[in-house]
Order: sequence, then C-alpha cells, then structure tokens
Amino acid sequence: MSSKITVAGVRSHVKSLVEASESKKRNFLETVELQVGLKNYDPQRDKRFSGSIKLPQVPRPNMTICVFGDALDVDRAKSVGVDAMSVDDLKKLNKNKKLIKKLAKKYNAFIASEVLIKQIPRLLGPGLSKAGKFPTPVSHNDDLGSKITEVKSTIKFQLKKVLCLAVAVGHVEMEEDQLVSQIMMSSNFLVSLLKKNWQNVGSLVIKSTMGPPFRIY
Amino acid sequence: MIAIDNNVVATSGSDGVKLWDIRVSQTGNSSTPQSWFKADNGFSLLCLDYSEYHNKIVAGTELKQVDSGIIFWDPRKTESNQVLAYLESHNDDVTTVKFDKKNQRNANSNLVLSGATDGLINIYDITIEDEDDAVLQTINHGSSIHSAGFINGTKKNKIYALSHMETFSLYDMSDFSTEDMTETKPIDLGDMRAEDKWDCEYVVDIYENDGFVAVGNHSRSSMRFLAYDTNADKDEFNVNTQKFVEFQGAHGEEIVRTVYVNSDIGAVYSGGEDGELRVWKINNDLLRSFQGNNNVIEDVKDVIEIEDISNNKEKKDKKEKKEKKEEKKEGKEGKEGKERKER
Repeated sequence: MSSKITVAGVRSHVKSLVEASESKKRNFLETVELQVGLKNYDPQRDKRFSGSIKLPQVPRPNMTICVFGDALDVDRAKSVGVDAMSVDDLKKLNKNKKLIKKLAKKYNAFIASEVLIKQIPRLLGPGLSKAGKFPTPVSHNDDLGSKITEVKSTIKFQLKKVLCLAVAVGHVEMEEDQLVSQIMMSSNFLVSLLKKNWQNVGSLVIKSTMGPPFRIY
Repeated sequence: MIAIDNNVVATSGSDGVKLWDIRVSQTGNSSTPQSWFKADNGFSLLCLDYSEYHNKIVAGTELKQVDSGIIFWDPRKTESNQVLAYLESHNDDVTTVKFDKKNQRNANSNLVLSGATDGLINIYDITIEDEDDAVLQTINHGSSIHSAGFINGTKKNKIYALSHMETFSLYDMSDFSTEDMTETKPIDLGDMRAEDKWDCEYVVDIYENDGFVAVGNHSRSSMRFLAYDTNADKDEFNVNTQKFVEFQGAHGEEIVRTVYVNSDIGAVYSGGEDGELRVWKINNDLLRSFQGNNNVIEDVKDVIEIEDISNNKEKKDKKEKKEKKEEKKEGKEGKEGKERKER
C-alpha cells in the first residue's frame, strides 16, 4: 500500500506549524496533534476500534506515571524518579472507590510488576479498568526506565461513533525530522487499519495546541 | 447470535436479547420473538453467549455514557429481569463474551470472560455477585479486543486475544486455586496480517467449535478458512496456512463479518458488510477432512447458491420452515439486515 503523504509535503507543513508556534510563544509546551477526518465510513455499522502504536519519540514528555511495584521495582522506580506504590500502599486504599478514582485521575498511566499485576483486580477492584488505565506489566528483566519511555511513547487511537479522531503525536520543541517521522508513522499506521485504507481518509490535519491547523492530506 | 437448543436461537441487538423459536412461522415484518430480555438501562448489546449448565444468557453492552459491561438473564423466564450484571470493569464497548464451557479440569466452571474496545479482558467468577470480588483476572492486551476465548488444557488454561489491529496473543489464565499470582509473559504472535502468518487483510473471527480461523482479503475478494491446532499445555496455537478452504469472490470488496458452518449438510453461510448473506455449498468430505486430517485443500470454487437475504425476507421464512437447522445462521443475518435498514 503506497502512502498518499510524502515526507517533503509533511515537512513543509511541519515548518509552518513550528514557525507559527514560535511567533507566539506560549507558557507551556504545545502538543502537536494529528486530526483525522474519515469518509465512506459508517461508525454506527462498520467496526469501531482502538489501537496503539509505539512511536520513536515521546509525544508528551510531561505524562505522569506511577509504578505499582514489589520491593525491587519500588526501588527501581525511585531511582529513575517515578512515583511508586507498594502492595501495602495499595492495600491501604481498601478498595475505596473514591480513593481509587482519585488515584486514577492523578496519573496518565500505570505500570505494575509482573508479580503484582494479577492481584490488581483483587486489591483495587475494577476502578482502574473503569478509568481505562489498567497497568502495563513490567518484569524484573525489563529495564524500568525504557519501559516507562515505551509506555509514554505509545499513542492510542480511538475511533468513537463520530467520523473524526485526534491523537497527540509530538510537541513543538521536537526536531523537525522527528516530528515529520512521528506524523508519517502515525498516519500510515492508522490508515492501514481502515478497511479501504486511503479511500476512507477524508483529511489529515496537524495542529499545535494553540496554533492554526495545517492540512497535510 | 447463538443457538439455545435445536429449535431456539437467541439474538442480541440495540434493543436487548430476543429468543426466537424457529418452528414458529414468521410472516412479513410482524415477527415476534418468543421472549425478549431488555437491559435495565437500555444498553445496546453487541455480543452474547449461553451456558446450559448455568442456565444463563450473557450479553456484552455498548458503552452508554460512562457505563458498559456484561449482563446476565435466565432464558427460562419470560419476564426480562436481569439476574446479574457487572458494569464496572470496562470503559468501552464490550465486543466479546464467553462462558468457559469446555474446561477439562473443572467441568462446571463458573468462569466468564469479556473483552472490550478498551483493550482489556476480564475473567469473572459468576457465583460472586459483588463485582469487586468477582473479577479474578484482568488482562491488558493494549489494543481493542475483537475476539477472545478460553483455550483449555489438562494442566493449565490459556486465553487467546485477537485485537482489531489483528494482533494475536496467548495469555496464561491464573490458577485461581493457588496463591501463585505471577503473571507469565504472554506469547505475542504479532500482527497476523503478515504473509508468513495468516496472510490476510483482516481476521473475520476464530471459530473454536469448528477449529478454524476465518480470514479475509477484500482487495482479492476472497475469504479463507485456516485450520488450527491449539494446545494450552504446550503454549501452542498453530495455523497451517497451506491447509485452507478458500471462498473466492467472498463479499467482493466488502468485509465478511461472520460465518457459520453446517457440516451436516455441507453448507457455509457468510454475512458481509454489503448486507448480504451468502450460502456456499461445499463438499462435506472437504469440511470433514479439513477439520480432521492433514489433507491439503485446494480452492473451493463450487459456489452454488448466492442469495441476497437482506432484500428477501420472505424467501428466508419459507426456507426456514423447510430446513430449520440450516437456518440458524440465516435468522441472525436476516435480522441484522433488518436492523441496519431500521437505522
């Protein structure tokens, strides 16, 4: 399947996007979002999906993560500067729905030690599942730092009952090349999931949080 | 759609679960189900399963505001009281729900699994009413679940998960009788669309009872059944891509949503997104050898009958009387077609 967007084309739009952002600096790191308009697609009838892809760079460096760990992983998390909770900490929540909801809100994602993850439903009940933040397992053989980067750089597409979807693919302080490849990779992956591929794509737009939109397809 | 017994089928839809007795003739558009179970807060239902042992029908719901989950009914009752519901463990559409029916280690398993668009698979013990305690295991597959099920072994049980990204993994089911709760690494078979895997553009579904995986290629207008062997004890799920039955033409460029095999009469039914139901006559020996032995099977080209059922409900009704068993699948397709038109 050939891609309908070219590196050169995307690059020129990325340039304008970054320029627009630099001309009016904001007090925060602007995220770059990829917005997709679909066509010839009936989200009521055609299958809906959500999926994730790991990008080369972390699109949102400020994402917060909490590790549910055994003794070793709690230590490892502290050494890489990430919040961590032990089994005892989790037990203290006592399946209190409000506390678990609060916990789920406080972080963008959770990671749990392999030895612990199966106890999560028993320790916390379904609260995290309900929030869509059930943890990703990590084993002692994995490097915790790179696991955290992996979780942070994984973006999630979610096609709801509407004909558009948007996903954060990067931020304005990334290198131009990085941003271009993040956009290319996300677009091509998403299109491969559509049943008629590019025939289902109405438009592809990139936009920084406060900046104007640029149509790349 | 699932069969309750030889005469009754159950369907799920936007307005609840309906039981249909196929001996009762349905004429015109005034079809009335034998029983009609509605979800308490008007959930649309996307999938269902039935356990004779538990006398329960279970259905998975679409997301409604912030709620989704699974709901149980007793099919012997005609009033629509829910007997059990777990609505806290998913945050998106529930796409698959299964009773653990073939558990060899524990013939009367109380387990049910559900998979959803949020990428989670939950395993419940349905004898526990409080959802906080009923969820025994949660598996995070990462991408939305298209299909999931139990693979039973003599030593351990596994769960398979197929996502809408067509990624396929095998997970160990926890042994809930012991305290050892270490999560073992899942066997990640990756994207099944690859040529060296299932060589397809999409997976229709995994048909556990018939022992095959149905895969489709819309650009080649074809659908294939690939036989598989699975062994939970050995962590195996082997598909031989050389051993297939191909349905040329399939539903053209449209996606095949579901298939049903009736090996008694050598018929395969397929329902596609074109709103059509197609009936394929295939050699019985072919189906049997495909299911049993290791014969290499060449393309099947003898498509005898192709019908557009969505426009032809009456014909369906007539046929239904004649060949009720054969029609189980068709009943569902006809209804799906009808629902689509209603929308």
